[in-house]
Amino acid sequence: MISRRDSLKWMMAASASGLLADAAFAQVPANLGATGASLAQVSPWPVVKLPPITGLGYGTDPDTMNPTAPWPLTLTSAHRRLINALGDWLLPADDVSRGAGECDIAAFFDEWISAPYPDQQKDRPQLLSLLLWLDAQSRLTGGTDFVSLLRADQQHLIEAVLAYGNVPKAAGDAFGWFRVMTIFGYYSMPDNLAAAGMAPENPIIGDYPGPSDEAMAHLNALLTSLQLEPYA
Amino acid sequence: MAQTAVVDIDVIIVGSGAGGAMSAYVLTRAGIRCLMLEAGRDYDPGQEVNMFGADQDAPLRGTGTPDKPFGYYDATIDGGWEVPGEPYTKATGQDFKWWRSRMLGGRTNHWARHVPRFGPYDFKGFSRDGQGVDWPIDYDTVAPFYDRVEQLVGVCGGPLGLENHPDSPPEVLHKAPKPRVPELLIAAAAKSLGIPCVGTHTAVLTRDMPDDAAPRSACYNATDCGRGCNIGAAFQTTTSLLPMAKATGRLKVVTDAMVSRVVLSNDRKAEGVEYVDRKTGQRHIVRARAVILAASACETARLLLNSKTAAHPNGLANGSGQVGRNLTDTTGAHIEAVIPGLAGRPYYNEFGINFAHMYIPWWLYKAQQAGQLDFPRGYHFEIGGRFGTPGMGQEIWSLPRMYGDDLKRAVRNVKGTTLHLSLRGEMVRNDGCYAEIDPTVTDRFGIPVLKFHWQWTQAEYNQIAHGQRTARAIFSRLGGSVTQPDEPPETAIKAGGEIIHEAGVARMGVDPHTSVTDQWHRTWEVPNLRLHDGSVFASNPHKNLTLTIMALAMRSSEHLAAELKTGGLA
Ligand SMILES: Cc1cc2nc3c(=O)[nH]c(=O)nc-3n(C[C@H](O)[C@H](O)[C@H](O)COP(=O)(O)OP(=O)(O)OC[C@H]3O[C@@H](n4cnc5c(N)ncnc54)[C@H](O)[C@@H]3O)c2cc1C
Ligand code: SF4
Repeated sequence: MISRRDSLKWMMAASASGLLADAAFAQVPANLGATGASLAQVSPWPVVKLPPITGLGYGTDPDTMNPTAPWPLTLTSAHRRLINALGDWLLPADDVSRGAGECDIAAFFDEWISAPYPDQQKDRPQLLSLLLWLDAQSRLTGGTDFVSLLRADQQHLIEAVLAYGNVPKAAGDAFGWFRVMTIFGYYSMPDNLAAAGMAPENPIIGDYPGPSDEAMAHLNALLTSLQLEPYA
Repeated sequence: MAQTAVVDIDVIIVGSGAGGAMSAYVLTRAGIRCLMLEAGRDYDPGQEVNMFGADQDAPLRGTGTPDKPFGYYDATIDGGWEVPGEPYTKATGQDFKWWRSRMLGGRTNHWARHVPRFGPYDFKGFSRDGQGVDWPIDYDTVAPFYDRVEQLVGVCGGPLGLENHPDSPPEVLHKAPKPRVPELLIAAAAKSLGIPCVGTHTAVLTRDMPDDAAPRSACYNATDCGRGCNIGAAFQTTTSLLPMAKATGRLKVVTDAMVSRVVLSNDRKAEGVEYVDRKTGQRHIVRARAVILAASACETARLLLNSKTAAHPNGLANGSGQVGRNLTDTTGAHIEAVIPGLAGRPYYNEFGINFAHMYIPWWLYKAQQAGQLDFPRGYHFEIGGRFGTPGMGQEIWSLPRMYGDDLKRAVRNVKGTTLHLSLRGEMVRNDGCYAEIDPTVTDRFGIPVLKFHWQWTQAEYNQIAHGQRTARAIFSRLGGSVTQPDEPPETAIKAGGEIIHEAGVARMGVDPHTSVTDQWHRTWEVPNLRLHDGSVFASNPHKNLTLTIMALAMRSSEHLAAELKTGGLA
């Protein structure tokens, strides 16, 4: 089993080594830095000092039939508005599914960074710094906080931070983490699986049917392109 | 002051996991009255397994935390790498991890249920390569018990036809589930490299198993077996052996009963055990004609070491000095890759029976015997990766930094493109790996705890390095990018204990000077005390050990039943 920490460690190492070339997903339009967005003036990365979260976790024998997170939430409504606005930029509504902000992705972040566990507590200053920085940066360039910016300015800021375009490296890193967390929080809502072309599994009575004909056709085409013989 | 409970019983069984429950099943069916003492709380999967609970409903989307390391819904209660109030210690600078739970059924409630048989070579490793020791029994001795255990617990899988990987007789196994795309892909790459890939044997039902006391249904291919399985498809003792044994009317189970030591009536006879009621702290002594320890390997060693008397100054049944020694685990490493060619593949139910439908068994016996490899024993790869909820996997981390509709499209495209190979290898016992009683630390019941010592040898590192090269070759053949750094084997190897296959700390043998039990699991010095878990393993093949724990527990229990019936322990 791979821990979240391993996953992060590898991701950092892999992106540093250029191992994960965009070409690995050639079918996907790669827009890393494609916008070339960059900031003219930059607000410094804030250092936040937070009182530690001391509440209790759910314990070693929680009622799994009635799951609840017992810890108090800690984000302000302004924080949550900002997170939902970012969520809708990252994963907007379309014909198939709602936007991440519409789904209140902020509730997921609030539960996450308010949890009294070490991994989550490491993420907390990162999120709060990112939110502070985005608002400070918005005020610097647009005279108002992020949610009140013109859409075009919001878009420019998001593109710049995604492209590491003259932003503090910490902001680019934190936003990368925020994006992955948004994906995780969003697709783990069963209603949103459709956005990934999936559905919650239904029980199959009888023999497991194995891959569909289309799935086998895709596999066979891949094997041919790799000059591999089918296994059986 | 311990209270003495008077109960009409023949055999006390400590622990309700794989070894303990199999013992209870066999003995009660043979007419023997059993008392099972289980440290954990009572647990009924029918009431407590939230099979369809959405991750969205669980705190932190079900992610693992120190309270529940394998996730919120995982069927581990009051346990994981730590059990509250029940510590263990490690030698300075050394690492060992000990996974425990405190619930009826023990770790069978959430194990991965991969159940290969050991093969003929595995029982005679020393005779083949001069390392470790041989078992006092051979494959042919155990084979009939494998047949019966596979039928009883329900194992699906297909024929193997491979060296040292015995097949089951026809009709024993349930039908194998069809392989899925990631497995077929890895199998094709492996084949091109001359590496076999075959159907896994898994303790999951693919047909119904009716039974009055424990009816079990075929797997319905949709829910995470690590949570447990309330239809009984995934084998766990709480939905099978335990209710079946209880139905005989001859099994009494006491939960929250933490056994602290074995009590003797004379130097060569166990009279019973002392246990602490975990809720009240009250100590009790219970008596029987025979005692079975099946508390899991290390806990069984701990009980022996904590049961010392004037006649057994180094711990009970430890005249050989081997109790706690020869600690082994399976070696482990994890190699993961994103396969671009899988992008955009059509979605279908790829859940199957959840666990790997195929795996890569060890294939280089001949090279090993010809001295061409720099490590003595083999490994296998468990294949992982399938469509799952897009989350924090490598394929998501490695997406270009896009947003909006592009990002949604990309997520749709890359789902199910990360595959992994988990190496599981055999280590040979070495003098640096053992457990002893910590002289200063006790648990919350005042019972002295174990202190672990762990040192890998160069052989394990060489084995891991071989596995890393092999896995990379397979992924490279598929045009994949391995996502983790090219780590040296010394850091890529998992910690001792981390694969949760601990064994060997009270090994069986033919000589009381070098072993703790005879081939019937009877401790040499106290013959009415038997050990029914991985503690007795003379070696720990890379083939996951629980099927063998159960087969041997069945064999020893039948022997004990015969002994009791003929008055052998009077
Ligand atoms: C995540 C995971 C995956 C696994 N996957 C596989 C796999 O695929 N294949 C495989 O073969 N094995 C696997 N295993 C290992 C498998 O679970 C164990 O080998 C098996 O459960 C051992 O059975 P046991 O009866 O010896 O011990 P356990 O199942 O641990 O049961 C021992 C019981 O004894 C109780 N106990 C302990 N101390 C005391 C005491 N002092 N007094 C009273 N009771 C006590 C415990 O509470 C426990 O209930 C896995 C384990 C884990 C955790
Ligand atoms: S996948 Fe099958 S065996 Fe596993 S929990 Fe679901 S029904 Fe049970």
